[in-house]
Amino acid sequence: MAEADTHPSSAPLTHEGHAILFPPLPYDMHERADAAVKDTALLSAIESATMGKYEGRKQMCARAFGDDYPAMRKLAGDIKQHTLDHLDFYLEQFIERAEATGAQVHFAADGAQANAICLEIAKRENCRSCVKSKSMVTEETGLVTALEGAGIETVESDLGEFIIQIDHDAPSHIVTPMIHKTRREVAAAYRRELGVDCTEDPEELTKIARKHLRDIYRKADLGVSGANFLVAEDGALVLCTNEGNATFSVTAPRVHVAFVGIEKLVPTRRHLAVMLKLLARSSTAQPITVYTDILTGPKRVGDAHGPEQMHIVLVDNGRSAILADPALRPSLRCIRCGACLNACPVYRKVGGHSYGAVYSGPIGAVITPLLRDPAGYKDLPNASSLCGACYQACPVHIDLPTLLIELRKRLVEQGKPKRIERLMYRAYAASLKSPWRYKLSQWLGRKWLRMTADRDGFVHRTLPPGRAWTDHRDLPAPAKQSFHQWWRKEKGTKAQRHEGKSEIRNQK
Amino acid sequence: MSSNKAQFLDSIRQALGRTQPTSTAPVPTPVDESIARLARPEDDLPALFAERAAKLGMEVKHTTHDRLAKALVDELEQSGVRSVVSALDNPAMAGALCNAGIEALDWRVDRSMAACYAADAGLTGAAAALAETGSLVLQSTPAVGRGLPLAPPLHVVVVEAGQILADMLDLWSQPVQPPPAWQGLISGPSKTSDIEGVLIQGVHGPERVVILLVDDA
Ligand code: SF4
Repeated sequence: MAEADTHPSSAPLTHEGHAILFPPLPYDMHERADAAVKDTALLSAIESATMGKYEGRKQMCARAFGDDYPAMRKLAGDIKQHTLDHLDFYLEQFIERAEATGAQVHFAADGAQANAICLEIAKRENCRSCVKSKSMVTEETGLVTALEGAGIETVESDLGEFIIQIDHDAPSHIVTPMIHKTRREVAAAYRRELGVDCTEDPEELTKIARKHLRDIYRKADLGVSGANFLVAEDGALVLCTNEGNATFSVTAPRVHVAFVGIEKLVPTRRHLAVMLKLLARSSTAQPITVYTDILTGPKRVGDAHGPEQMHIVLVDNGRSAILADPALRPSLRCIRCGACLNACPVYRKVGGHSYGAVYSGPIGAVITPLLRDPAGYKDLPNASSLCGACYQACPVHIDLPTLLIELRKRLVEQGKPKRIERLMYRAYAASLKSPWRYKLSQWLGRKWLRMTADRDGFVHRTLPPGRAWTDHRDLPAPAKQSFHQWWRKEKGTKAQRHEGKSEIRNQK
Repeated sequence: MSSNKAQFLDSIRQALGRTQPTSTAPVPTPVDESIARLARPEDDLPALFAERAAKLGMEVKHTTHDRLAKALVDELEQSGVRSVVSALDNPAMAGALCNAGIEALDWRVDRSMAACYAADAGLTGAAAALAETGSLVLQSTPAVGRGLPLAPPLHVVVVEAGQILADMLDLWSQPVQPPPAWQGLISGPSKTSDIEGVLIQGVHGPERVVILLVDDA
């Protein structure tokens, strides 16, 4: 919540990307969602990026764990839940052990504090140039804008984030941030921003970034990262990437600053193993990410490479408020694998930017209102069909649909329902008062909807209040006859009904 | 500037409904190995490791102690490597490289990142390997730095069959005290599919990882 107050005002909105992730509140997601749904190129890009991973995850997990897969997810969920339930203990243990390795631990109640800590370190250590690996928490706090505002040139090193940065765009997926972009847009951004002559060949585009970033690594004196996990027993900080950019970013520069949400803890390395076995399988259908870096403190005496200083900034930024709410606490188990985004039929249709925040998809719909502003993001918990695909995909067993329903309930309890909603519910209640009223209302409704339906069998536009629905979705026309009518005609002769009853009686 | 530690921990404690630090350590969730273990010590570990490392996109070459130096030189020559930084503490190999005309910089002589950036290949051993995934385990010690397996476009790593552990759970069965500043699980060449899902190797780290698996058995 603090972040919502501090971010947009304290940081200059230099990039369009910030308006995408930090829109003015209250945020109405319909405009962007409508545009996305009509953008066929975007839809096919998202579809191909997410469906492959969705299917791949299922295969990988089945192959690795077989029938034990549900038990494995339960185990991982239990581990994270236990750690959250005793987070005070594990945090204290982590701090003590991390400090024993020579790392310096800092504490930030909100995003502004976290950024200020980083700036203070950069200033004290006289850092001029920063290379940064992908981190959701730094997106949350707007660290890049803060660093650049202080005159510290900052370059994202994850290829996707790098491209997004030079194109002044914003990530649209928590794992694969640029699934909404085409190679053509990438090449155009390279020509415009890097001044290079290039084709649209992904291989060539990647190699140009490699060369460009090599120079950045050489030059940078500050390396910023997030963390996928923290291990309480030995104070380790764990980074998982496929490109190796995080390894570089925390190896080459002399000062390493890591921003970490307090929910990233696990008790021991054996618990870490359980998480690693699930993370990459759930995320990108790999058995493990290419690079898993486990960092405990700055470089030791005798080590050749590594930073001279390691700073770990523990970031609360609204998390302790979620922790304090037992019904919502499970949302903090999230290991940001992105599986629920890939599984979500709504995310696949509207894309990440429609969520108007750093976190999108089902997990974003839960934590964005909680971390920032429930009233400002009241569309998000409603942007779900509650089909449960996210729950099935989640490696730490977060019951996302139940959390979404809980948030909806709270929104209704807090806010006043609209007059039209009250009228509708009153009419609905009246129609349920007797069987004939019910049948009559059903008959009328069916007639009317069938009249307004197009030839394709869908209602595209109807009168208010139904228009609130058809403005954003199509409604399938109801069947010719009701189930009641069908039953009476096909099966429901009196004699059959009688037989049925006597059969039941006989069985008793 | 930063809220201090006591205040920070207090807010967490309050969120959990506690007023005092817990006096007894909580008992962490047991890791049920019947569920979580994906490879067993009694499995054929070298075979499993070789198969899975290959699946991760690493090239596995089987060799023996006697033939190691030749295998290394063959590999480098085939790859067109002119210069290496070597952290392999093995005089026979150093001699073989020299005879083959490959410019070999001994890690102990130049441990700079600059040398790693300049080399065509980095040669290292491994601290362990994992049959479960096919991963290499490297650690920062005075004898090898974390830039060496990372910066050159080719990483050649010598793994002894006896170094292969079954599962991650075996690597971390005991807490390492004190832990090295860096422990890296390397599981393939550096890769991305950020641009339209096209898989490309060698984004920041090596384009190729070659494993010389020494198995005299
Ligand atoms: S909620 Fe679950 S599925 Fe979604 S990103 Fe988090 S861990 Fe992955």
